[in-house]
Amino acid sequence: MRRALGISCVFGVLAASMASAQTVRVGVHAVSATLDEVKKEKRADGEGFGGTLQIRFGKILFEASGYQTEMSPSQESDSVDFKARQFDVRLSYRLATAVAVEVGGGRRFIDPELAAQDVGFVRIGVLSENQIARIANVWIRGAYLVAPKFSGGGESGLSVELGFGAGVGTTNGRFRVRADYEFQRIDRRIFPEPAQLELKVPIQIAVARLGVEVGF
Amino acid sequence: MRLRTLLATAVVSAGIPTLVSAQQNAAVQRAQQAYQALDFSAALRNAQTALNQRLTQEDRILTYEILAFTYGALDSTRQAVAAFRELIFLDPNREPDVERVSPRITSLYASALGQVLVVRRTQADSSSFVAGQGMVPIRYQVSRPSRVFTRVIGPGIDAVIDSQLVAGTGGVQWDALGAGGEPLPPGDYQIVVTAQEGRNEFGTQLGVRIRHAPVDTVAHLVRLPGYTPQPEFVTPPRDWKPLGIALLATGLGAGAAVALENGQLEAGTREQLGGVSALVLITGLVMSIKKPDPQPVPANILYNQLLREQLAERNAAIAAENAARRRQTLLTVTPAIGGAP
Repeated sequence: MRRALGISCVFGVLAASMASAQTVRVGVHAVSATLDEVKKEKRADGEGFGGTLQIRFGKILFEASGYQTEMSPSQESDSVDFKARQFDVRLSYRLATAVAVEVGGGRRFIDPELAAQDVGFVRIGVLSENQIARIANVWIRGAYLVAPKFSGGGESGLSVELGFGAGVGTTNGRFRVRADYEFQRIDRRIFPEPAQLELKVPIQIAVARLGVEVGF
Repeated sequence: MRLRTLLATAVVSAGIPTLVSAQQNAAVQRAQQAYQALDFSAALRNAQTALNQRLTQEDRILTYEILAFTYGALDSTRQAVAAFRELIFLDPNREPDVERVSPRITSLYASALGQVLVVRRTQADSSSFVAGQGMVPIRYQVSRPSRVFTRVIGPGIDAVIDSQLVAGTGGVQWDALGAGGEPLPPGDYQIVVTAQEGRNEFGTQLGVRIRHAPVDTVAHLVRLPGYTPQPEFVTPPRDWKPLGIALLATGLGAGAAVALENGQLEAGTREQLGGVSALVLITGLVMSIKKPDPQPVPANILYNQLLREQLAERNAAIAAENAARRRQTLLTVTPAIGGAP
Protein backbone atom coordinates (compact mmCIF):
# COMPACT_ATOMS: atom_id res chain seq x y z
CA MET A 1 0.00 0.00 0.00
CA ARG A 2 2.80 2.36 0.90
CA ARG A 3 4.44 1.47 -2.39
CA ALA A 4 1.32 2.36 -4.35
CA LEU A 5 1.08 5.65 -2.57
CA GLY A 6 4.73 6.35 -3.26
CA ILE A 7 4.37 5.54 -6.97
CA SER A 8 1.42 7.87 -7.22
CA CYS A 9 3.44 10.62 -5.60
CA VAL A 10 6.32 10.09 -8.00
CA PHE A 11 3.98 10.27 -10.98
CA GLY A 12 2.51 13.43 -9.63
CA VAL A 13 5.86 15.08 -9.09
CA LEU A 14 7.06 14.03 -12.54
CA ALA A 15 3.99 15.42 -14.18
CA ALA A 16 4.38 18.61 -12.24
CA SER A 17 7.99 19.04 -13.18
CA MET A 18 7.39 18.61 -16.92
CA ALA A 19 8.62 21.82 -18.43
CA SER A 20 6.87 24.69 -16.71
CA ALA A 21 3.59 24.00 -15.07
CA GLN A 22 0.66 25.81 -16.58
CA THR A 23 -1.18 26.39 -13.33
CA VAL A 24 -0.26 25.73 -9.73
CA ARG A 25 -2.81 26.11 -6.97
CA VAL A 26 -2.34 25.84 -3.26
CA GLY A 27 -5.28 25.89 -0.92
CA VAL A 28 -6.47 25.37 2.60
CA HIS A 29 -9.89 24.20 3.60
CA ALA A 30 -12.14 23.41 6.48
CA VAL A 31 -13.34 19.85 6.69
CA SER A 32 -16.41 18.20 8.04
CA ALA A 33 -16.43 14.40 8.08
CA THR A 34 -18.63 11.54 9.10
CA LEU A 35 -17.08 8.11 9.52
CA ASP A 36 -19.18 4.99 9.86
CA GLU A 37 -17.75 1.63 10.69
CA VAL A 38 -19.46 -1.67 11.34
CA LYS A 39 -22.77 -0.21 12.46
CA LYS A 40 -24.51 3.09 12.88
CA GLU A 41 -23.84 3.17 16.62
CA LYS A 42 -20.12 3.52 15.91
CA ARG A 43 -20.63 6.60 13.74
CA ALA A 44 -18.21 9.44 14.41
CA ASP A 45 -18.39 13.04 13.31
CA GLY A 46 -15.77 15.69 13.34
CA GLU A 47 -14.30 18.82 11.90
CA GLY A 48 -10.83 19.74 10.97
CA PHE A 49 -8.69 21.36 8.35
CA GLY A 50 -6.67 20.38 5.36
CA GLY A 51 -4.74 21.53 2.35
CA THR A 52 -4.46 20.88 -1.36
CA LEU A 53 -1.88 21.25 -4.07
CA GLN A 54 -2.96 21.23 -7.70
CA ILE A 55 -0.64 21.31 -10.66
CA ARG A 56 -2.21 21.47 -14.08
CA PHE A 57 -0.12 21.02 -17.18
CA GLY A 58 -1.98 20.73 -20.44
CA LYS A 59 -4.17 17.68 -20.20
CA ILE A 60 -2.58 16.45 -17.00
CA LEU A 61 -3.83 17.36 -13.57
CA PHE A 62 -1.98 16.35 -10.43
CA GLU A 63 -3.67 16.83 -7.11
CA ALA A 64 -2.41 16.07 -3.65
CA SER A 65 -4.56 16.72 -0.63
CA GLY A 66 -4.74 15.92 3.00
CA TYR A 67 -6.78 16.71 6.04
CA GLN A 68 -7.03 16.00 9.71
CA THR A 69 -10.20 15.86 11.71
CA GLU A 70 -10.97 15.43 15.35
CA MET A 71 -13.61 12.73 15.39
CA SER A 72 -16.14 12.26 18.18
CA PRO A 73 -18.10 9.02 18.27
CA SER A 74 -21.81 9.12 18.80
CA GLN A 75 -23.22 8.81 22.26
CA GLU A 76 -24.22 5.21 21.71
CA SER A 77 -20.67 4.29 20.83
CA ASP A 78 -18.29 2.81 23.33
CA SER A 79 -15.34 4.22 21.39
CA VAL A 80 -13.15 7.17 22.28
CA ASP A 81 -12.41 10.39 20.44
CA PHE A 82 -9.80 9.95 17.80
CA LYS A 83 -7.98 11.78 15.05
CA ALA A 84 -8.37 10.85 11.44
CA ARG A 85 -5.73 11.93 8.92
CA GLN A 86 -6.17 11.21 5.26
CA PHE A 87 -3.80 11.83 2.37
CA ASP A 88 -4.76 11.47 -1.26
CA VAL A 89 -2.95 11.86 -4.54
CA ARG A 90 -4.62 11.89 -7.90
CA LEU A 91 -3.22 12.09 -11.41
CA SER A 92 -5.67 12.59 -14.22
CA TYR A 93 -5.29 12.78 -17.93
CA ARG A 94 -7.95 14.53 -19.99
CA LEU A 95 -9.23 12.41 -22.86
CA ALA A 96 -11.94 14.75 -24.06
CA THR A 97 -13.33 18.15 -23.15
CA ALA A 98 -14.95 16.99 -19.92
CA VAL A 99 -13.68 13.45 -19.50
CA ALA A 100 -10.45 12.43 -17.82
CA VAL A 101 -9.13 9.18 -16.46
CA GLU A 102 -7.79 9.30 -12.98
CA VAL A 103 -5.42 7.14 -10.99
CA GLY A 104 -4.07 7.64 -7.53
CA GLY A 105 -3.96 6.40 -4.05
CA GLY A 106 -5.01 7.27 -0.54
CA ARG A 107 -4.15 6.50 3.02
CA ARG A 108 -6.15 7.17 6.14
CA PHE A 109 -4.54 7.02 9.55
CA ILE A 110 -6.42 6.75 12.79
CA ASP A 111 -5.03 7.83 16.11
CA PRO A 112 -5.32 6.06 18.52
CA GLU A 113 -4.83 3.03 16.38
CA LEU A 114 -7.70 0.88 17.58
CA ALA A 115 -10.38 3.57 17.47
CA ALA A 116 -11.08 2.84 13.79
CA GLN A 117 -9.44 1.20 10.82
CA ASP A 118 -6.43 2.56 9.04
CA VAL A 119 -7.12 2.19 5.36
CA GLY A 120 -4.92 2.32 2.31
CA PHE A 121 -6.01 1.96 -1.29
CA VAL A 122 -5.28 2.61 -4.93
CA ARG A 123 -7.96 4.31 -6.97
CA ILE A 124 -8.79 4.09 -10.67
CA GLY A 125 -11.60 6.24 -11.91
CA VAL A 126 -12.88 9.00 -14.09
CA LEU A 127 -13.15 12.74 -13.63
CA SER A 128 -15.55 15.03 -15.42
CA GLU A 129 -14.74 18.69 -15.09
CA ASN A 130 -16.91 21.37 -16.69
CA GLN A 131 -16.04 25.01 -17.01
CA ILE A 132 -19.52 26.51 -16.60
CA ALA A 133 -18.17 30.07 -16.79
CA ARG A 134 -14.83 31.68 -17.18
CA ILE A 135 -14.55 31.94 -13.42
CA ALA A 136 -16.39 28.83 -12.30
CA ASN A 137 -16.20 25.11 -12.78
CA VAL A 138 -18.06 22.06 -11.57
CA TRP A 139 -16.68 18.58 -11.35
CA ILE A 140 -17.77 15.08 -10.52
CA ARG A 141 -15.57 12.07 -10.07
CA GLY A 142 -15.95 8.40 -9.35
CA ALA A 143 -13.35 5.73 -8.69
CA TYR A 144 -13.02 2.09 -7.92
CA LEU A 145 -10.76 1.39 -4.96
CA VAL A 146 -8.38 -1.40 -5.79
CA ALA A 147 -7.73 -3.94 -3.01
CA PRO A 148 -7.98 -1.75 0.06
CA LYS A 149 -5.81 -2.75 2.98
CA PHE A 150 -6.78 -2.36 6.62
CA SER A 151 -4.84 -2.19 9.84
CA GLY A 152 -7.18 -4.77 11.30
CA GLY A 153 -6.94 -7.11 8.34
CA GLY A 154 -9.74 -8.44 6.26
CA GLU A 155 -10.67 -8.04 2.66
CA SER A 156 -13.13 -5.95 0.76
CA GLY A 157 -15.99 -6.45 -1.60
CA LEU A 158 -17.43 -3.34 -3.21
CA SER A 159 -15.07 -0.42 -2.71
CA VAL A 160 -15.91 2.82 -4.42
CA GLU A 161 -15.66 6.49 -3.91
CA LEU A 162 -17.28 9.43 -5.60
CA GLY A 163 -17.21 13.12 -5.26
CA PHE A 164 -18.41 16.38 -6.74
CA GLY A 165 -17.86 20.03 -6.16
CA ALA A 166 -17.64 23.50 -7.57
CA GLY A 167 -15.11 26.28 -7.64
CA VAL A 168 -15.46 30.01 -8.24
CA GLY A 169 -12.54 32.33 -8.67
CA THR A 170 -11.36 35.67 -9.88
CA THR A 171 -11.03 36.35 -13.57
CA ASN A 172 -7.26 36.27 -13.44
CA GLY A 173 -7.33 32.92 -11.67
CA ARG A 174 -5.39 34.17 -8.67
CA PHE A 175 -7.95 33.37 -5.99
CA ARG A 176 -10.62 30.74 -5.83
CA VAL A 177 -13.20 29.36 -3.44
CA ARG A 178 -14.10 25.72 -3.69
CA ALA A 179 -16.54 23.37 -2.05
CA ASP A 180 -16.59 19.67 -2.60
CA TYR A 181 -18.01 16.49 -1.21
CA GLU A 182 -16.43 13.06 -1.17
CA PHE A 183 -18.05 9.80 -0.29
CA GLN A 184 -16.27 6.51 0.16
CA ARG A 185 -17.74 3.08 0.74
CA ILE A 186 -15.69 -0.01 1.47
CA ASP A 187 -17.49 -3.27 2.15
CA ARG A 188 -14.92 -4.82 4.43
CA ARG A 189 -15.20 -8.41 5.53
CA ILE A 190 -13.28 -10.22 8.17
CA PHE A 191 -13.01 -13.86 9.03
CA PRO A 192 -12.30 -14.09 12.73
CA GLU A 193 -10.80 -17.24 14.31
CA PRO A 194 -11.63 -19.90 15.05
CA ALA A 195 -14.79 -20.39 13.02
CA GLN A 196 -13.60 -18.12 10.21
CA LEU A 197 -17.15 -17.13 9.48
CA GLU A 198 -17.50 -14.10 7.29
CA LEU A 199 -18.31 -10.98 9.23
CA LYS A 200 -19.31 -7.79 7.45
CA VAL A 201 -17.66 -4.70 8.91
CA PRO A 202 -18.28 -1.98 6.31
CA ILE A 203 -16.53 1.38 6.35
CA GLN A 204 -18.11 4.51 5.00
CA ILE A 205 -16.90 8.08 5.16
CA ALA A 206 -18.40 11.31 3.89
CA VAL A 207 -16.28 14.44 3.76
CA ALA A 208 -17.28 17.99 2.92
CA ARG A 209 -14.62 20.60 2.31
CA LEU A 210 -14.86 24.33 1.93
CA GLY A 211 -11.73 26.29 1.27
CA VAL A 212 -9.79 28.91 -0.61
CA GLU A 213 -7.00 28.52 -3.11
CA VAL A 214 -4.31 30.72 -4.51
CA GLY A 215 -3.16 30.22 -8.07
CA PHE A 216 0.27 30.92 -9.52
CA MET B 1 -6.68 86.06 -117.25
CA ARG B 2 -7.01 89.35 -115.45
CA LEU B 3 -10.07 88.16 -113.56
CA ARG B 4 -8.34 84.88 -112.63
CA THR B 5 -5.30 86.73 -111.34
CA LEU B 6 -7.41 89.09 -109.27
CA LEU B 7 -9.40 86.20 -107.82
CA ALA B 8 -6.23 84.31 -106.92
CA THR B 9 -4.76 87.46 -105.47
CA ALA B 10 -7.81 88.06 -103.34
CA VAL B 11 -7.52 84.58 -101.92
CA VAL B 12 -3.75 84.79 -101.51
CA SER B 13 -4.03 88.11 -99.73
CA ALA B 14 -5.87 86.39 -96.98
CA GLY B 15 -2.58 84.69 -96.13
CA ILE B 16 -0.79 87.97 -95.65
CA PRO B 17 -1.62 88.34 -91.96
CA THR B 18 0.18 85.07 -91.44
CA LEU B 19 3.38 86.73 -92.56
CA VAL B 20 5.33 87.83 -89.59
CA SER B 21 5.47 91.56 -89.36
CA ALA B 22 8.37 91.77 -86.96
CA GLN B 23 10.87 92.27 -89.76
CA GLN B 24 13.53 94.94 -89.45
CA ASN B 25 14.74 95.27 -92.98
CA ALA B 26 13.21 98.19 -94.90
CA ALA B 27 13.20 96.37 -98.24
CA VAL B 28 11.35 93.48 -96.72
CA GLN B 29 8.87 95.90 -95.20
CA ARG B 30 8.32 97.55 -98.53
CA ALA B 31 7.91 94.17 -100.24
CA GLN B 32 5.29 93.13 -97.75
CA GLN B 33 3.40 96.44 -98.07
CA ALA B 34 3.51 96.15 -101.87
CA TYR B 35 2.23 92.58 -101.67
CA GLN B 36 -0.61 93.65 -99.40
CA ALA B 37 -1.39 96.44 -101.87
CA LEU B 38 -1.47 93.85 -104.64
CA ASP B 39 1.47 95.61 -106.32
CA PHE B 40 3.21 92.39 -107.21
CA SER B 41 5.94 93.91 -109.39
CA ALA B 42 6.98 96.18 -106.52
CA ALA B 43 6.74 93.29 -104.15
CA LEU B 44 9.04 91.20 -106.37
CA ARG B 45 11.48 94.08 -106.84
CA ASN B 46 11.73 94.84 -103.15
CA ALA B 47 12.00 91.18 -102.23
CA GLN B 48 14.85 90.65 -104.68
CA THR B 49 16.53 93.77 -103.33
CA ALA B 50 16.17 92.46 -99.81
CA LEU B 51 17.76 89.12 -100.72
CA ASN B 52 20.85 90.94 -101.85
CA GLN B 53 21.18 92.48 -98.42
CA ARG B 54 22.27 91.00 -95.14
CA LEU B 55 19.07 89.66 -93.56
CA THR B 56 18.18 88.01 -90.36
CA GLN B 57 16.92 84.44 -90.54
CA GLU B 58 13.40 85.59 -89.91
CA ASP B 59 13.59 88.32 -92.61
CA ARG B 60 15.04 85.84 -95.06
CA ILE B 61 12.22 83.41 -94.39
CA LEU B 62 9.66 86.18 -94.77
CA THR B 63 11.23 87.37 -98.02
CA TYR B 64 11.10 83.95 -99.62
CA GLU B 65 7.55 83.58 -98.43
CA ILE B 66 6.56 86.89 -100.10
CA LEU B 67 8.36 85.79 -103.23
CA ALA B 68 6.64 82.42 -103.30
CA PHE B 69 3.20 83.90 -102.68
CA THR B 70 3.77 86.63 -105.26
CA TYR B 71 5.00 84.21 -107.91
CA GLY B 72 2.06 82.02 -107.09
CA ALA B 73 -0.31 84.95 -107.57
CA LEU B 74 1.34 85.69 -110.90
CA ASP B 75 1.06 82.05 -112.03
CA SER B 76 4.85 81.76 -112.17
CA THR B 77 4.86 78.19 -111.02
CA ARG B 78 8.54 77.38 -111.43
CA GLN B 79 9.67 80.49 -109.56
CA ALA B 80 7.06 79.96 -106.88
CA VAL B 81 8.19 76.36 -106.28
CA ALA B 82 11.81 77.48 -106.21
CA ALA B 83 10.97 80.15 -103.62
CA PHE B 84 9.04 77.63 -101.52
CA ARG B 85 12.03 75.22 -101.69
CA GLU B 86 14.24 77.90 -100.23
CA LEU B 87 11.61 78.63 -97.61
CA ILE B 88 11.37 74.93 -96.70
CA PHE B 89 15.12 74.64 -96.29
CA LEU B 90 15.13 77.68 -94.05
CA ASP B 91 12.17 76.63 -91.96
CA PRO B 92 10.81 73.17 -92.71
CA ASN B 93 7.97 73.59 -90.23
CA ARG B 94 6.61 76.73 -91.86
CA GLU B 95 3.84 76.07 -94.34
CA PRO B 96 0.81 77.89 -95.71
CA ASP B 97 -2.32 77.78 -93.64
CA VAL B 98 -4.66 75.62 -95.65
CA GLU B 99 -7.64 77.33 -94.01
CA ARG B 100 -6.67 80.77 -95.33
CA VAL B 101 -4.53 80.26 -98.41
CA SER B 102 -5.71 79.19 -101.81
CA PRO B 103 -5.34 75.55 -102.76
CA ARG B 104 -3.15 76.66 -105.59
CA ILE B 105 -0.57 78.09 -103.24
CA THR B 106 -0.69 75.01 -100.98
CA SER B 107 -0.27 72.75 -104.02
CA LEU B 108 2.77 74.76 -105.04
CA TYR B 109 4.09 74.35 -101.52
CA ALA B 110 3.44 70.59 -101.63
CA SER B 111 5.19 70.39 -104.97
CA ALA B 112 8.23 72.15 -103.53
CA LEU B 113 8.18 69.93 -100.45
CA GLY B 114 8.25 66.81 -102.63
CA GLN B 115 11.39 68.03 -104.34
CA VAL B 116 13.51 68.48 -101.23
CA LEU B 117 14.61 66.26 -98.38
CA VAL B 118 13.86 67.80 -94.97
CA VAL B 119 12.98 66.62 -91.51
CA ARG B 120 9.97 68.43 -90.15
CA ARG B 121 7.84 68.63 -87.04
CA THR B 122 10.41 67.07 -84.81
CA GLN B 123 8.93 66.92 -81.33
CA ALA B 124 9.28 65.15 -78.04
CA ASP B 125 6.43 64.91 -75.58
CA SER B 126 7.09 65.79 -71.98
CA SER B 127 7.50 62.58 -70.02
CA SER B 128 8.07 61.62 -66.43
CA PHE B 129 9.03 58.04 -65.61
CA VAL B 130 11.23 55.91 -63.42
CA ALA B 131 14.59 55.41 -65.06
CA GLY B 132 14.60 52.13 -66.93
CA GLN B 133 10.83 51.79 -66.83
CA GLY B 134 9.73 54.36 -69.37
CA MET B 135 10.50 56.03 -72.68
CA VAL B 136 10.35 59.47 -74.24
CA PRO B 137 8.47 59.41 -77.55
CA ILE B 138 10.20 61.41 -80.27
CA ARG B 139 8.35 61.95 -83.54
CA TYR B 140 9.26 63.57 -86.85
CA GLN B 141 8.28 63.69 -90.50
CA VAL B 142 10.49 63.38 -93.56
CA SER B 143 9.47 64.90 -96.85
CA ARG B 144 10.86 61.98 -98.88
CA PRO B 145 11.56 58.32 -98.07
CA SER B 146 15.00 58.23 -96.53
CA ARG B 147 17.17 56.69 -93.82
CA VAL B 148 16.84 58.64 -90.60
CA PHE B 149 19.42 58.66 -87.83
CA THR B 150 18.52 59.91 -84.39
CA ARG B 151 21.38 61.02 -82.23
CA VAL B 152 21.57 62.31 -78.66
CA ILE B 153 24.21 64.82 -77.68
CA GLY B 154 24.61 66.09 -74.17
CA PRO B 155 26.53 65.77 -70.90
CA GLY B 156 28.34 62.46 -71.05
CA ILE B 157 26.67 61.15 -74.16
CA ASP B 158 27.02 61.44 -77.92
CA ALA B 159 25.42 58.41 -79.43
CA VAL B 160 23.12 57.35 -82.21
CA ILE B 161 20.05 55.87 -80.58
CA ASP B 162 18.10 54.91 -83.68
CA SER B 163 18.43 54.33 -87.39
CA GLN B 164 15.57 53.40 -89.65
CA LEU B 165 14.07 53.84 -93.08
CA VAL B 166 11.19 56.27 -92.89
CA ALA B 167 8.57 57.37 -95.36
CA GLY B 168 6.36 60.08 -94.01
CA THR B 169 6.07 59.95 -90.25
CA GLY B 170 8.66 58.26 -88.09
CA GLY B 171 9.56 58.09 -84.46
CA VAL B 172 11.73 56.60 -81.79
CA GLN B 173 11.31 55.74 -78.12
CA TRP B 174 14.21 57.07 -76.08
CA ASP B 175 14.92 55.56 -72.65
CA ALA B 176 17.16 58.45 -71.53
CA LEU B 177 19.72 55.97 -70.21
CA GLY B 178 23.45 55.96 -70.66
CA ALA B 179 25.50 53.20 -72.20
CA GLY B 180 25.69 51.38 -68.88
CA GLY B 181 21.98 51.59 -68.29
CA GLU B 182 22.33 54.39 -65.77
CA PRO B 183 20.03 57.42 -66.03
CA LEU B 184 21.59 60.30 -67.91
CA PRO B 185 22.63 63.15 -65.63
CA PRO B 186 20.37 66.17 -65.42
CA GLY B 187 20.96 68.82 -68.04
CA ASP B 188 20.18 69.99 -71.54
CA TYR B 189 20.47 67.56 -74.45
CA GLN B 190 20.09 67.86 -78.19
CA ILE B 191 18.16 65.31 -80.20
CA VAL B 192 19.56 65.49 -83.71
CA VAL B 193 17.47 63.86 -86.41
CA THR B 194 19.26 63.45 -89.74
CA ALA B 195 17.67 62.15 -92.94
CA GLN B 196 19.84 60.76 -95.73
CA GLU B 197 18.77 59.97 -99.25
CA GLY B 198 21.62 59.32 -101.62
CA ARG B 199 23.83 62.38 -101.41
CA ASN B 200 21.06 64.48 -99.96
CA GLU B 201 21.12 64.98 -96.25
CA PHE B 202 19.12 67.14 -93.92
CA GLY B 203 19.33 67.41 -90.17
CA THR B 204 17.31 69.08 -87.49
CA GLN B 205 17.68 69.18 -83.77
CA LEU B 206 15.43 69.35 -80.77
CA GLY B 207 16.50 70.49 -77.35
CA VAL B 208 15.29 68.58 -74.30
CA ARG B 209 16.00 69.01 -70.63
CA ILE B 210 16.37 66.13 -68.21
CA ARG B 211 15.68 66.58 -64.52
CA HIS B 212 16.11 64.09 -61.68
CA ALA B 213 13.81 63.56 -58.73
CA PRO B 214 13.42 60.87 -56.08
CA VAL B 215 10.69 58.34 -56.72
CA ASP B 216 7.68 58.67 -54.46
CA THR B 217 7.39 55.92 -51.86
CA VAL B 218 4.18 54.14 -51.00
CA ALA B 219 2.57 54.63 -47.58
CA HIS B 220 2.25 51.59 -45.38
CA LEU B 221 -1.21 50.19 -44.81
CA VAL B 222 -2.87 50.25 -41.42
CA ARG B 223 -5.86 48.27 -42.64
CA LEU B 224 -6.84 46.38 -45.72
CA PRO B 225 -9.22 48.43 -47.84
CA GLY B 226 -12.62 46.82 -47.97
CA TYR B 227 -11.98 44.46 -45.07
CA THR B 228 -13.06 45.12 -41.49
CA PRO B 229 -11.68 43.16 -38.55
CA GLN B 230 -14.33 41.13 -36.79
CA PRO B 231 -14.86 40.99 -33.00
CA GLU B 232 -12.89 38.07 -31.61
CA PHE B 233 -15.02 37.81 -28.48
CA VAL B 234 -18.78 37.95 -28.48
CA THR B 235 -21.00 37.94 -25.43
CA PRO B 236 -23.50 35.13 -25.93
CA PRO B 237 -27.11 35.44 -24.85
CA ARG B 238 -27.82 34.45 -21.27
CA ASP B 239 -28.56 30.75 -20.91
CA TRP B 240 -29.16 28.20 -18.20
CA LYS B 241 -26.43 25.81 -19.19
CA PRO B 242 -24.30 26.48 -16.07
CA LEU B 243 -27.25 25.71 -13.84
CA GLY B 244 -28.02 22.62 -15.91
CA ILE B 245 -24.50 21.31 -15.56
CA ALA B 246 -24.51 22.06 -11.83
CA LEU B 247 -27.83 20.26 -11.50
CA LEU B 248 -26.52 17.30 -13.43
CA ALA B 249 -23.33 17.07 -11.41
CA THR B 250 -25.18 17.47 -8.11
CA GLY B 251 -27.87 15.02 -9.09
CA LEU B 252 -25.41 12.40 -10.18
CA GLY B 253 -23.06 12.90 -7.27
CA ALA B 254 -25.62 13.19 -4.53
CA GLY B 255 -27.84 10.52 -6.02
CA ALA B 256 -25.01 8.08 -6.35
CA ALA B 257 -23.78 8.84 -2.84
CA VAL B 258 -27.21 8.16 -1.38
CA ALA B 259 -27.64 5.06 -3.52
CA LEU B 260 -24.27 3.72 -2.48
CA GLU B 261 -24.80 4.16 1.21
CA ASN B 262 -24.38 0.89 3.01
CA GLY B 263 -27.68 -0.33 4.35
CA GLN B 264 -26.01 -1.92 7.32
CA LEU B 265 -24.85 1.48 8.48
CA GLU B 266 -28.17 3.19 7.89
CA ALA B 267 -28.49 6.71 6.57
CA GLY B 268 -26.68 9.47 8.34
CA THR B 269 -27.65 13.11 8.59
CA ARG B 270 -26.24 13.88 5.13
CA GLU B 271 -25.44 17.40 6.25
CA GLN B 272 -22.23 17.48 4.28
CA LEU B 273 -23.97 16.20 1.18
CA GLY B 274 -26.75 18.74 1.46
CA GLY B 275 -24.41 21.63 2.11
CA VAL B 276 -22.09 20.97 -0.78
CA SER B 277 -25.01 20.23 -3.11
CA ALA B 278 -26.53 23.58 -2.23
CA LEU B 279 -23.28 25.39 -2.86
CA VAL B 280 -22.81 23.73 -6.25
CA LEU B 281 -26.38 24.56 -7.26
CA ILE B 282 -25.98 28.16 -6.11
CA THR B 283 -22.80 28.39 -8.16
CA GLY B 284 -24.64 27.15 -11.24
CA LEU B 285 -27.55 29.49 -10.64
CA VAL B 286 -25.35 32.55 -10.18
CA MET B 287 -23.34 31.72 -13.26
CA SER B 288 -26.57 31.39 -15.25
CA ILE B 289 -28.01 34.66 -13.99
CA LYS B 290 -24.91 36.79 -14.34
CA LYS B 291 -24.00 38.31 -17.67
CA PRO B 292 -22.26 35.61 -19.68
CA ASP B 293 -18.58 35.91 -20.26
CA PRO B 294 -17.55 36.93 -23.77
CA GLN B 295 -16.75 33.86 -25.79
CA PRO B 296 -14.06 33.63 -28.43
CA VAL B 297 -15.33 33.33 -31.99
CA PRO B 298 -12.89 30.99 -33.75
CA ALA B 299 -14.02 31.99 -37.24
CA ASN B 300 -13.50 35.67 -36.47
CA ILE B 301 -10.16 34.99 -34.82
CA LEU B 302 -9.02 33.11 -37.91
CA TYR B 303 -10.41 35.84 -40.15
CA ASN B 304 -8.58 38.54 -38.21
CA GLN B 305 -5.43 36.48 -38.19
CA LEU B 306 -5.72 36.14 -41.95
CA LEU B 307 -6.23 39.90 -42.24
CA ARG B 308 -3.19 40.56 -40.06
CA GLU B 309 -1.12 38.17 -42.14
CA GLN B 310 -2.31 39.74 -45.37
CA LEU B 311 -1.60 43.21 -43.96
CA ALA B 312 1.86 42.14 -42.89
CA GLU B 313 2.52 40.64 -46.31
CA ARG B 314 1.30 43.77 -48.06
CA ASN B 315 3.40 46.01 -45.84
CA ALA B 316 6.43 43.78 -46.34
CA ALA B 317 5.89 44.06 -50.08
CA ILE B 318 5.46 47.82 -49.75
CA ALA B 319 8.63 48.06 -47.69
CA ALA B 320 10.53 46.08 -50.30
CA GLU B 321 9.05 48.21 -53.06
CA ASN B 322 9.94 51.39 -51.18
CA ALA B 323 13.48 50.16 -50.68
CA ALA B 324 13.70 49.58 -54.42
CA ARG B 325 12.09 52.95 -55.15
CA ARG B 326 14.62 54.75 -52.96
CA ARG B 327 17.32 53.40 -55.25
CA GLN B 328 15.46 54.56 -58.36
CA THR B 329 15.45 57.93 -60.08
CA LEU B 330 12.46 59.70 -61.52
CA LEU B 331 13.38 61.22 -64.84
CA THR B 332 11.44 64.16 -66.22
CA VAL B 333 12.16 64.99 -69.84
CA THR B 334 10.75 68.20 -71.27
CA PRO B 335 11.44 70.04 -74.48
CA ALA B 336 13.90 72.81 -73.68
CA ILE B 337 12.60 76.34 -74.16
CA GLY B 338 14.10 77.67 -77.32
CA GLY B 339 15.63 74.32 -78.03
CA ALA B 340 13.64 73.65 -81.15
CA PRO B 341 15.45 74.16 -84.47
